[in-house]
Amino acid sequence: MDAQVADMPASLAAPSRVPKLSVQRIGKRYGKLDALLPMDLDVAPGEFVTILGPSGSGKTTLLQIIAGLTEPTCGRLLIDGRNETDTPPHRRGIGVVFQNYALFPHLTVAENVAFPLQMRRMPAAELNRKVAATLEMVGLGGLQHRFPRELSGGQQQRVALARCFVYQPALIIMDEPLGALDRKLRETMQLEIRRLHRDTGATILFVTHDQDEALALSDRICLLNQARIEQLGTPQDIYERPASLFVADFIGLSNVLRGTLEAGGLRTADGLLPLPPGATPASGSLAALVIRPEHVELDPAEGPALAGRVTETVYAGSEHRLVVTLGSGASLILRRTASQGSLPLGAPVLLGWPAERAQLLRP
Amino acid sequence: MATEAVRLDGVTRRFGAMVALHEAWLKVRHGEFLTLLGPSGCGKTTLLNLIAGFLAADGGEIFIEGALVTATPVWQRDIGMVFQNYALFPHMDVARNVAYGLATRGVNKAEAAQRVAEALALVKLTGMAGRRPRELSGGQQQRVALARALVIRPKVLLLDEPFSALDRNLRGAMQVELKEIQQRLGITTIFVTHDQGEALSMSDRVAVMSAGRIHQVGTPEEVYRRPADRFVAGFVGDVNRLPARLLGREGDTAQVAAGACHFTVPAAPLAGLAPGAAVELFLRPEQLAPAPAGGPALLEGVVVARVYQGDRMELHLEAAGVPGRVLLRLPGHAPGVGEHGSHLAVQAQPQPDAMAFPPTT
Amino acid sequence: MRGRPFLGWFVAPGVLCALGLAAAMAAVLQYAVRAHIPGSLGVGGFTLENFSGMLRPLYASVFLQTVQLCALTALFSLLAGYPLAHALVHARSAAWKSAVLVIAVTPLFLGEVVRTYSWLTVLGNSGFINGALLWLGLIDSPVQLMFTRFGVVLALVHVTLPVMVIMLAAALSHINADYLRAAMSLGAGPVRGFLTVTLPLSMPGILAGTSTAFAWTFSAFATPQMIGGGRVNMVSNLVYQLGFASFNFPFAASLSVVGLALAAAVLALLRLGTARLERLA
Repeated sequence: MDAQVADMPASLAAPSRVPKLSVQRIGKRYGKLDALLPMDLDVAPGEFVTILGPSGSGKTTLLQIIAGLTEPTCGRLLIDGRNETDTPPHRRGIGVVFQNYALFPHLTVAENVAFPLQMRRMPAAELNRKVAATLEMVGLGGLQHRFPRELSGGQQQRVALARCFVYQPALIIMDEPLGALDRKLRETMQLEIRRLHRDTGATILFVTHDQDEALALSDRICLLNQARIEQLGTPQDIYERPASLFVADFIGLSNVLRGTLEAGGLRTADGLLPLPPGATPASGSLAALVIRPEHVELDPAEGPALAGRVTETVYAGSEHRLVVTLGSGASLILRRTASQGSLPLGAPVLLGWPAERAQLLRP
Repeated sequence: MATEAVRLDGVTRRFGAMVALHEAWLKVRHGEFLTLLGPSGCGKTTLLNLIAGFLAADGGEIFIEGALVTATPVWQRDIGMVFQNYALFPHMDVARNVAYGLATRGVNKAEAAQRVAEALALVKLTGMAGRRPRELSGGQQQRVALARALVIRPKVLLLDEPFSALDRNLRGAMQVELKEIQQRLGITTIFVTHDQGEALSMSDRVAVMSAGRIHQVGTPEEVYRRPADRFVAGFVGDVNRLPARLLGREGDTAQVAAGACHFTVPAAPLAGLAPGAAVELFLRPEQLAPAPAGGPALLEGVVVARVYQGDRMELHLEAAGVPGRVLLRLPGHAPGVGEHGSHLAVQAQPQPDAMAFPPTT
Repeated sequence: MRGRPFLGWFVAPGVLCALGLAAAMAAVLQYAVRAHIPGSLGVGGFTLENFSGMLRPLYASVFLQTVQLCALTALFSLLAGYPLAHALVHARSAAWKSAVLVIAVTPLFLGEVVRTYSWLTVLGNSGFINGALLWLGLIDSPVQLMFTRFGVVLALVHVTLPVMVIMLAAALSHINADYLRAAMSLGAGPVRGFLTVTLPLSMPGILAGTSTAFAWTFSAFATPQMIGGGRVNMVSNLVYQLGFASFNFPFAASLSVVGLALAAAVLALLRLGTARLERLA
């Protein structure tokens, strides 16, 4: 069984159910500019899908269309199977968590969290019970009488999460919610969001430009680039089987060796490199092999052995990263654990990788 | 040369009643890349502004190239500074921005033009001389700021979180580029950041700061593998804090026991503790691994989160007697190990860089 | 976007006001092209004589003087306002800031007539300035300050200073402090830093402040009337005299129209300059 699937909500195992959110051929044009090319995306109930991409890739446009803040030029948007393309934002049952929290500064923590319930005219007793339970869930019990300005950034983000989870919207959109937090706090909050997702079974659409965050949180990642979906898949799919050089480059570190396909391998300036098993490419076309740094081996027992010299060493605490420049001038990055240690600059090395660890991609 | 490029002798700076920097002693060597690393509010930017001259010291002396500059105004200190927001002059084009420091020094037009062209070539912006700052991307603006600071051949280059506004892939590329330029020019560089990864990968030495004090100055390996105190251990990289017991001391090293395992640690932080005393054992996540069935275990816990990070899988455990969570980093995606909710016995890698500190009271 | 149903109702009062103003303007315009019938409040048929009459030296000199006074007022207001605005934005101590704020802004709370009366007690032959100079023995007889262009400009600067300081302070506070710090790190001392960085970057504020001071002064009435005392005349005083002393409404209206056009032309020129600078900044 795949390790990643163990973390997924059980609902994913039943694909026959109606998707919570269904984006069908939705696109957006501004004049002659395509902000979003027509695309499809289904999100299952209880699923955590991350929309990832560089700035300008269209992720904000897609988010705004789903939230109802922008009208699509074409396509349909279904929530729980109902066509909601023309429904105004506040009737779609979508909760949004913003990067800047957007807490009401004149209301206390409890009043902020109670706000969406008051808008829905919930009786006081039930409202108070729900607010207290939700604040407890996000670890803010006891702070209900504080004002937002009296809270730290992480606490404010917890209030924003509580204000969203408290009314159990059909779909929760989180727009770069952790962008303003420093690294350690961001990692803590990532675990917190995972736990909330697991405990509530909420369907979450999460937007970020941070690839580590996307890998850590998501059931599936929808990677956007230049207004279209570059790849849609589980974190492991995306990292281990990138669909394009863009994906390989955007997610994690990649080594790229370019060349021309011929019988028996890829002809590069550094020699003929074997193709991964199962690849049946047409001879004569240009292609690239992508190998992750952790799969590059020193003095390989099998496969190709490329000669090069260490031209740069980067210390990262838990590991060393070596940059090796090959005879052709191309360079490869490899990882060495702290216990394996680094190598001196200029040291001659032989590099290889298990053929099945390489990916063959169009250049 | 006998003197240091920059020397701080007990420099103190207060803001009202708050001590922003407490008696900082620091020597920066010629051609060195030194990073001031710490969380926000630790005093690292204050220290940089004191060296630049934007702030006056309340006590102590500052020397640049052996000359006392404590009372010298900024514009006579011969420093190059790169700001977090680049601070390019919006009403001047790229060439005039870069030439600004040459104009103030009265460099003649012909020489200035030549040096501006060289500086732009150095940062790979040849051909952009006529652009306005707002017509450039963030990375390009950063390069202009770097060229503007370097063209005056300053005695020391100061950088204040220069990459924090850039997105991750660009930040990585700019780090490599800055390091290359710095090594090529051999310029003394003081770099401020709160990003420990950036500090470890770029620096010759790192000064770790917190609450207005310099906790440790050392090479990246020293501060990561032999942190001087609990703060440095916790701030530079992730760390697991495990309850342990002091067994005894022998010269520079001490023995501590945790679970069924024994560790050799530096004795210095444990001075004054008697054998049998409770201590806290600090172990990096990559130094832990699942224990083979039946083998001696350091601890046993329940997996509460599995976090996939591409090249590694991070396991978060809750273990009895351990405050906080235990973090393991396993290579690859570790199929079948530590499913969510399962029990996991953990051991340490052989000869780990373990540290022990007295428990906090 | 989806409609905003209340928007129409919210703009209704504004539309009513605008319609009223437009009607008044139309009335002035049509008066301007009618003949004056001496001894009558009524007006005659269509004529352009009102405009050709303005070319006479008497009237042309008033126009010239008005533009000069406005320009001087804007200039001195800028010279006095810039240091105040700079202190308001950059002063370290809170006491300094509030002192500047009080000096700069209190004139706004006094009506123009009250302010002008206060100048009478300062500028008069037995006023504060002459009294002080006489007491110090620097002069033997009072210096003429009332009914001079100097006195009028001084009082007008007092009127325009608050808005100048506020506009300059807004512009200065939007200049990131790191620009000046960067200039200093590159070897520029305070003067050079100010001239090459702060001053050019505050240019939009300078243009906005001076054009506002210019326009305000152009329409000033009470100050030139009282301090100038008929010897320093501006267009507004002329309009008043023609309208309410000679009852020549058509000529008064045509003067107003030309004055308005002149002010608009000067402002448009400044606006053009601002737009060009903003493209640079």
